Amino acid sequence: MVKDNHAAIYRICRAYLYDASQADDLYQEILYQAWKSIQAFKGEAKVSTWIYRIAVNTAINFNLKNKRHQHLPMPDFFQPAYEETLPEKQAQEAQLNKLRYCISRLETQDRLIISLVLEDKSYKDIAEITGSNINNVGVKISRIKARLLKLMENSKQYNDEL
Amino acid sequence: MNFEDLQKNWQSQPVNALTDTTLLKKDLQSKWQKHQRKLMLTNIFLTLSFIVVFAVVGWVYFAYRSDFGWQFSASIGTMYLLLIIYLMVSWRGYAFKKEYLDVSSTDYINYQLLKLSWQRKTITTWSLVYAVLLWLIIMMYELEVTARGTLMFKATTIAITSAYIFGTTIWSRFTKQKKQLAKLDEMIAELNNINKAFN
Repeated sequence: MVKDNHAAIYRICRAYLYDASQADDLYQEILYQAWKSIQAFKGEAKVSTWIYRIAVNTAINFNLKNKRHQHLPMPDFFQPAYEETLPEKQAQEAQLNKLRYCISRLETQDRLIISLVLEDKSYKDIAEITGSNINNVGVKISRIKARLLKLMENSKQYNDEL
Repeated sequence: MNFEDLQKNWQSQPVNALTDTTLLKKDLQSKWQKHQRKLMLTNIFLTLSFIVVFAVVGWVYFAYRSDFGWQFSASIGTMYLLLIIYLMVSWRGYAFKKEYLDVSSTDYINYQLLKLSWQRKTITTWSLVYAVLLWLIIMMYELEVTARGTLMFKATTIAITSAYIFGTTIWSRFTKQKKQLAKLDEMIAELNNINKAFN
């Protein structure tokens, strides 16, 4: 159950926390919490909804515990890529780093929502996971998407200027 | 650049993470869990202290009840009642319900907020009400016990007891409780922010 969703959980952690080692810690905590809660799973919700709820709630707790995540480090995409990697791979990695950085510029709670959108979750699923109203979710997602695209565009200009 | 491209790129990122749960860190505790643990220990200490008070006051009652009037019994009875109510108020702030992380985030946050708000109210309101009621009960007790004493003796006893009860209440409010309130307010604000974003 957990293994089927581990990649998505990991990506949520990377979206929520820019720092990779912090994201690893959060990922481990989510898996531990899922493992602890597995006996309580009664099948009332979809498996993915159940595990995403655990992921999001653990992330909220993780943030309460440690404020260090608010600090934004220097963006990786300004750093030169490894010489031995293929150009396409380099470009893809640079794009990913830029995306991670731009996500890290969003509000904490918006990062959680966008991480679910990036996992292709429907509005209904996101509303179920977060306990929000489905209509509000749609409005919020549009706003966050627009903000993210704007951040990507601005960082592109900045990168070009460099 | 459109969002679908970003999404595609995002989902294609390599995942180099462990999935073996036996290797996971088990000692990670959130601020909420640490706070809960601290609250539980404080409440246990409070309960044990009250049990000692119950025993001592009970002994006083049975040893001296024949020497005094109904005010003596009434003050001791109401003191027992007040201590029991205050214990219940203190324990109500503790989250007894097992932490279910698989509920929706709003429900999860609302439960935490409910408990934190009660803890806040206990500090700001109930502890003050408790101090005033305790003072009234002790005054009733002291007036009965010192009834045969001089006016000076009565006044001194009342002054010392009043100074102690209100002194410790005020001191605690500006030191220990101030810190507790700051911590609670910080957690409440953070949870409210997240809740607002989800709704």
